[in-house]
Amino acid sequence: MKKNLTIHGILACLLLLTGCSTMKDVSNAVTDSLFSYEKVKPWQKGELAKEDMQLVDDGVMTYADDHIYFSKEAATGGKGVGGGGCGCN
Amino acid sequence: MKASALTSFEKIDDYWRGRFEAMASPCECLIACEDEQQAKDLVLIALNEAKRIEEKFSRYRADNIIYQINHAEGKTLSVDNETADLLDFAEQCYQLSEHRFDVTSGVLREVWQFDGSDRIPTKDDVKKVLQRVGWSKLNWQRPQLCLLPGMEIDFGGIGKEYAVDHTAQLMKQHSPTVNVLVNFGGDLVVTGPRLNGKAWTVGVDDPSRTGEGAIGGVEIKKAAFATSGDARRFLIKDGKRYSHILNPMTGWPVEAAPRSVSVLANTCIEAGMMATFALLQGANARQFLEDQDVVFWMVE
Amino acid sequence: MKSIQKKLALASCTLLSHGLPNTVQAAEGEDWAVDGSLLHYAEEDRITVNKFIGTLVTNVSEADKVKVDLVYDTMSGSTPSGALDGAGSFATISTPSGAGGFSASSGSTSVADFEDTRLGVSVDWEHTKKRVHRINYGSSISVEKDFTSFGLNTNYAQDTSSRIVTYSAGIAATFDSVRRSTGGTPEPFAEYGQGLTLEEGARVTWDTIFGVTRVLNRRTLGQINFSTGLNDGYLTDPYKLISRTVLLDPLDPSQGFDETATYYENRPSSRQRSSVYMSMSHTTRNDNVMHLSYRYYWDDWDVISNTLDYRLKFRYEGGFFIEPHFRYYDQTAANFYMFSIPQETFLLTGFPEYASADYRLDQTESTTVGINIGKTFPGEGKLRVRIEQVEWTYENSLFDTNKALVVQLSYKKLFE
Repeated sequence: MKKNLTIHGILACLLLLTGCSTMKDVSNAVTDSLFSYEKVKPWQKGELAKEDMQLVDDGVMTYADDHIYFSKEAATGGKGVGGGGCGCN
Repeated sequence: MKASALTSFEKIDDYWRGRFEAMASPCECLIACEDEQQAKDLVLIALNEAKRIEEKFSRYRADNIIYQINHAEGKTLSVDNETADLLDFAEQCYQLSEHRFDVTSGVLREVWQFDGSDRIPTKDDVKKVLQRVGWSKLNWQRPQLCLLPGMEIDFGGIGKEYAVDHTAQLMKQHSPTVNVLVNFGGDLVVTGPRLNGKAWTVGVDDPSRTGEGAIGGVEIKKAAFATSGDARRFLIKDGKRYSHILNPMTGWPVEAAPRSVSVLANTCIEAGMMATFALLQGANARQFLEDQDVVFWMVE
Repeated sequence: MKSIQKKLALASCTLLSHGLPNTVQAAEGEDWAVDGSLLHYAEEDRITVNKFIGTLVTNVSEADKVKVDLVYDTMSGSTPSGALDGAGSFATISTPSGAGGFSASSGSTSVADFEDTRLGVSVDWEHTKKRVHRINYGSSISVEKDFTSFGLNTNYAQDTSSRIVTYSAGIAATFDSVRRSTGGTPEPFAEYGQGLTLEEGARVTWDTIFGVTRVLNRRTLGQINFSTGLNDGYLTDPYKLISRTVLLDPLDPSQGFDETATYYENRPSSRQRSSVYMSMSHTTRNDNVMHLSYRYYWDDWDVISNTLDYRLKFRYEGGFFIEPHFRYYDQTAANFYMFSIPQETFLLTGFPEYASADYRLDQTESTTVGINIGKTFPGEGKLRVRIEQVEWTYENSLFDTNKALVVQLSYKKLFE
């Protein structure tokens, strides 16, 4: 596999910036979320209702990404069905 | 505000409790922290805020925005942001409740005095006052408010719950890591669990033994709780009980309203309004609450 | 009696949020929303795409929501055709330095210039019954010079009574018509510039999806989807080519090779695809929102792929946010992908059944790094701009890497 140093370098810098908190966030997320299961009452759903928490929280950006990767890569779909094809693949 | 304005301040278990009187109700704040000074500071913030809101929206003062609004005699007034926010909210509640909740209905107290006596007004009395009641009669275009002469705005039904939520927010801003329970006269909010990680236990008032008995308890880690009811204010004439919940469209008390409704929600204002809307539904209160996605207690 | 709880909650939040940070309104209370976006996609030395995307969502009634999407693309530039340079001539010789050695010079067949515009419209209607049942009906049309597509889809979702879990199932059918801009499709494996021109290619795609979305705890939402699909019909790319090559020294492959001929490619007429997709959104203790997803994909062309996507949104006072984004992707090569058709094999067995040198079917690894910055105006809209850099590296293809810069500016406005 050919690796690319530039990309991995940028990645490392980004991780350093968003960095320590991201890693901690990720490990907290793992303990808080995957291993922390609770029966959520209706009045506790405030956070979940916020727009940022929707699994697809930005339709036009998701749509643009789906199209870019659909036309450049062999694997497609997974999120949903329908939505229109294009001649790019 | 001097510390002596607190009626009590003491440590109980793993939290501090400060009590004071505001908005004509007993108020208390439970603070989940170790440091006594920090707890006291937070209680004083609450006391300050409660007094500020009470003074700003009290009907009994002649130096606040409410006085200006209620004595504008038909002139258009420009109001500040906080008042504007409350008016916007009042308008939305007016719509959501299908006009049953109306902050202009305060003037009906001129003919209805709920003092436990048997004096009820005549139909004509009510009709005359009703002419000065009705949100649709005023003009509200933020930030400008214009009431018909003789109309009044009364935030009594919103003020306390708003104060609870706003106070909790201020306390959170001051000490983001300290969880508190803010209770103004039975309307309360909890911002997080106690220091031992456990929930706060809150008793639900039994309206037939108000202040002395509870019909149940609820464990709250982070939620708001509000109760609406006619526990202390009503009239009895010819064996019929008239609750103090008035229908702003007819000017008469809502029939068959439950004795009390308690609701659990994210914010105190939401809990309080939901409970109030339920009471305004009268006989349909239970059906109404069941159709909402809320946890409630009701005593008929 | 309809539930007013959500509207009351929204009104309450509005009352309490003014002057305090980090309270963002869900667009739910609004009656309609318009989102407009401009996207610029530029590969290094290759394709450039400019896209306009417009979305309109409106609540036609309490129970009905309609969404209309409009896309307008303009594409231009050059793209690798799969052919190797200077086919038929011996002028280009590879150097044994291991760098591959073929360069794209203008006038060669290894890159193809193209220019196209596309217009796509799709409409979706969502109907809600008794609050827990949702049915979607959607249709879409896409038109460009050499491609037309028409699709229909329907999706059904049901919440449990506590609204903690949602089960959903959907199915879609798409009908495409493929042709060259000069007309028709080429005869498979005919020599470039020769052979018959066949009729337009037609294909049908069926997709189905089953999913479960679940509230895991008060700050986490999770979803898992199982999808499967079938493509049937003309799946070949009518522009793509593949060269036949001969080793310069049959005993020493490191000496390189030369191309002797170029042909049109040929792909199977069916493809069965499947994937498992897991996704999660989580609000961290610092009130940041994390999105993490993973997809495992496999098909009967032997492409196996992993996709990992991670975003972390830092939210600030005044509705500002900064969201770094990272995506990792890899895929194995399709079983009929080949860099070229070796002369030796060709002499022994002729053309393979299927062959394609399309870099998109090559063994690939890709990473995307980006940042999205914006501001939410509570109750009014959202402005955001993002910049991303994508890099693909190919194991075998003529051009080992492809880099692209993506810039997208979007503005969403809510209306009563």
